Amino acid sequence: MAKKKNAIRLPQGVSSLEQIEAQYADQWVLVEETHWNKNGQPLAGRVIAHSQEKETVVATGVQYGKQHRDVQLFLFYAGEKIPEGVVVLL
Amino acid sequence: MSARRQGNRIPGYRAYGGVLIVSTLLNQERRAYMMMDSGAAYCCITPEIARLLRYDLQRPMARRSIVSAQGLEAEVASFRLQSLQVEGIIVQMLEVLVVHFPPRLRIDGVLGVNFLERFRSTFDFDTATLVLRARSV
Repeated sequence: MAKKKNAIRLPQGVSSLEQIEAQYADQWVLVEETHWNKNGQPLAGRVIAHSQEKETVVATGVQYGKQHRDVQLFLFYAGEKIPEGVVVLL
Repeated sequence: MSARRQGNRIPGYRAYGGVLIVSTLLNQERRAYMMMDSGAAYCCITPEIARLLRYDLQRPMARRSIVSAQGLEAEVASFRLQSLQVEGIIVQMLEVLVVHFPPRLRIDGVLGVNFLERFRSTFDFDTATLVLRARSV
């Protein structure tokens, strides 16, 4: 299979966000961003924590953020942000 | 802030129901998925994002009274973000309210009028894009 043009070579322990979304599907994931596109959007990072329990990942993120002040952290749900069938009306 | 005349096009995506969600960077350190909400007077973030930003929820900048379309009335904490960035656009000193969202909403907040009014903001739903143009003086 031909390699994707412009595919970035990632260091060990770093994965693309697409890979992370697939690997940790339906979990909350805390990622330290390591690679960005020219607009500053994250492309890849290092997974710091993951769990189906949001609070577990948030607590890890709070502690990690205290110890690593200069990193950009991304906490997200690897899946649909609004489940199918749920109509948002704030 | 610097939105070019033709507008900065912020790619997002449309979640269930068609709502538009974009990725933002808060205080240059924490990324957040925020939903466009031109019916919200203020931007909001979840308590979890506030904690990740090291805000002390017991010591807010202010407290605001809010009322929702569903009749919820509450007093909520308010903080001033140093910055909120969407793509290349940075807005500084933006007030945000801390609001609990139902667990099924896996977003980190909403971008409300106090952000959108700083631009000529339009939503291009066909391409899931937020367009921010500089306001006329």
